[in-house]
Amino acid sequence: MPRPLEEILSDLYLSNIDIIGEGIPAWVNALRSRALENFNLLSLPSAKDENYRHTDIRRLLDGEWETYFIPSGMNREINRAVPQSGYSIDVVNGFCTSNELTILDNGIVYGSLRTAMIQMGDIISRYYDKIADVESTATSALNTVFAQDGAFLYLPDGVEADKSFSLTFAYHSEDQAQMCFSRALVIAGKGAKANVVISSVSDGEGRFLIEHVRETYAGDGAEMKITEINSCGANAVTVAGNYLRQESDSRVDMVSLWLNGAATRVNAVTDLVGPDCESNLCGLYFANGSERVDVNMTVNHMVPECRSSELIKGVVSGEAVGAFTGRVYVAPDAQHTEAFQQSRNLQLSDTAKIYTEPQLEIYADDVKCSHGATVGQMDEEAVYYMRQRGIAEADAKRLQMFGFVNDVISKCPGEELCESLAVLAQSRIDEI
Amino acid sequence: MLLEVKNLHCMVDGKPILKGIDLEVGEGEVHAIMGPNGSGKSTLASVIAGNPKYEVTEGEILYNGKDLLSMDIEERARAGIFLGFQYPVEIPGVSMANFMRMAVNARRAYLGEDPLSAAEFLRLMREKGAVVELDSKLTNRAVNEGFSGGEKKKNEIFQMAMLDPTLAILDETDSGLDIDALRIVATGVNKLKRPDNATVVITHYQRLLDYIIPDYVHVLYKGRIIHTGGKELALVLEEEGYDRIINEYNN
Ligand SMILES: Nc1ncnc2c1ncn2[C@@H]1O[C@H](COP(=O)(O)OP(=O)(O)OP(=O)(O)O)[C@@H](O)[C@H]1O
Ligand SMILES: [Mg+2]
Repeated sequence: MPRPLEEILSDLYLSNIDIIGEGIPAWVNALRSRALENFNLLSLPSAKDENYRHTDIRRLLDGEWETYFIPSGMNREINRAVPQSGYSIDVVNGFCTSNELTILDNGIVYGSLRTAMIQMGDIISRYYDKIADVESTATSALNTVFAQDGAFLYLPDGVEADKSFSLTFAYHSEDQAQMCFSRALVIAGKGAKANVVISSVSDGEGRFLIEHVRETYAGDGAEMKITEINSCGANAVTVAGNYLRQESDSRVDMVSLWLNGAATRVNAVTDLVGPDCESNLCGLYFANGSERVDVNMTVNHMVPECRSSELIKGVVSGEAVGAFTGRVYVAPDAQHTEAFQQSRNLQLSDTAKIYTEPQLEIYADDVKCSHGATVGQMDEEAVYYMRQRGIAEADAKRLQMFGFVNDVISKCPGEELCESLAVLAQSRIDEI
Repeated sequence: MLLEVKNLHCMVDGKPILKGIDLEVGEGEVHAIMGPNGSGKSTLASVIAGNPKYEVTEGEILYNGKDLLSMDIEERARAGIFLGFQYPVEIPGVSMANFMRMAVNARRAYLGEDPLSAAEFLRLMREKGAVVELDSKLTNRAVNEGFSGGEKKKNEIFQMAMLDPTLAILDETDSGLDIDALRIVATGVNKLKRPDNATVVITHYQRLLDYIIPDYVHVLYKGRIIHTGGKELALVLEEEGYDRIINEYNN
């Protein structure tokens, strides 16, 4: 009789408890113990779980994963998805490459999450593990159990950053399959403005299980642009929980790109907790060959007068599977909510599968909500039109596919970033 | 002879549409094709362009003496065949500039010319945009996306100007145009006319032919060209409709 996975993971923690918690403040380690309890109570979702129909989390986690609780892979050059710009933080296999925190003249602090826990406990403790759903999402609780470091960014009230921030999570393996826990905490105070580019990359063929949690907080009136690029190798499995909380009058424009990886499961949760927020969430994923991408987005309208819009596009080919579940919750008194959701998909082969499902739970009566989903093939008329102008058939198809994805990419801030992302998308298209 | 269509028959979804078309277009000529709705005008244009939906069951088409039907769609285009679509297609996310640059350079490669540099290409876009008075804002947008009906038609002539075709077939480029746009489009077509190229205009309205003077007017009916005349035929058709010619043909 094999031991249950929960037991194996709990034992992994308990037998490394000293090294995992070493040098980390007691309040953080207390959160670990609580998270471990939650994790065991919740247990990992089974394949029968309605919310995990398209991803067998147990199968992904079950394996001969090596786990290091000390920094590793630091000596290797990071294979960046987009050129570095502005202020940057590099995290390799879950550990920040520098223990230092950088403090800018305007009060912005960025660097190692671990160091921030030690030096800025009073601020961090208000947000860390408070935004993520560790109460009902077992994989996020698991992250709290194991996370030792990560990236930290703090913008004090009223500060507008003069440059963008690049948070890079790199995964470098030696020969063995490796499980890495990584974490990010991004806090924008009242009225703060920032442009953050977060990428996740791994070296070529390395086998990874990436367990990631990101907590982002937008205070009253904060304005954030977040671009997220997931570009891990063909053997990387990602299980991520990306949590965003927005206070009143804040605005977040987020673009998430899932470019490759063997299997990706993302829970992206946005809580709109103050009135008059705006949240624009765009996403694009590619799945080719036998890849699987399962994006589960939730927008919780907890209060009146907030606007959210979601546009998620998928390009699926080969025998790949793409799934998008878009949950929109509107609380009973969240009147004048506007929530729009669109899922647009390109299915390039008969053997590829696309599942797209809106889940609307609306308990207020004076709201504007809509959702739409399309699954289509290449537009043959458009291909014919382009060929009639002399463009080769293969180029016409590529151009059309690029047009489909460019719609999302062009929403990223800055021409240079858009251009490098366009190149990434184009090379992905060329592989199809 | 630039184009020779000989006894062309074609089917779509198993249904015969063209039933023996004969048509010759020489260099420097302008031909008008008229005929009732559903008679097969767009089908003929599509078969010449190479639309794979249409299956040629009999006959042949020669272009500069070469077998056109064995050529790919893009090969035909590069060899100078241009089709102005009755219903231009929207291609979301693909910029006009990107699209046209690929098209122009494909045609140039066929002609043994080097691709245009970015600056040369922009200059060409501006120059040709002026020919049809196309708002430069439109060339910055995605291909036909959100263009009005008239703008789409102007955009077809703009593309024609960019590609400098040898044989242009304009399928109802005049429908949906206001009087000014009609004049602009027709003037554009005339400006592009040369002794070594040819234009085939498909139209329902004589008024276009006030601007673009045809050498021949053909009447297509039920998949056949049942009558050919000079430019005055368009006036007659405008006056009395197709009934007399159809009746004569039936007898
Ligand atoms: N894809 C198709 N499937 C079935 N029938 C078709 C298809 N395309 C064209 N047809 C039929 O072929 C005939 C000729 O159509 P075509 O579009 O060539 O006419 P047309 O002369 O251009 O008409 P109009 O003046 O209305 O543009 C019509 O009866 C039309 O319904
Ligand atoms: Mg027609």
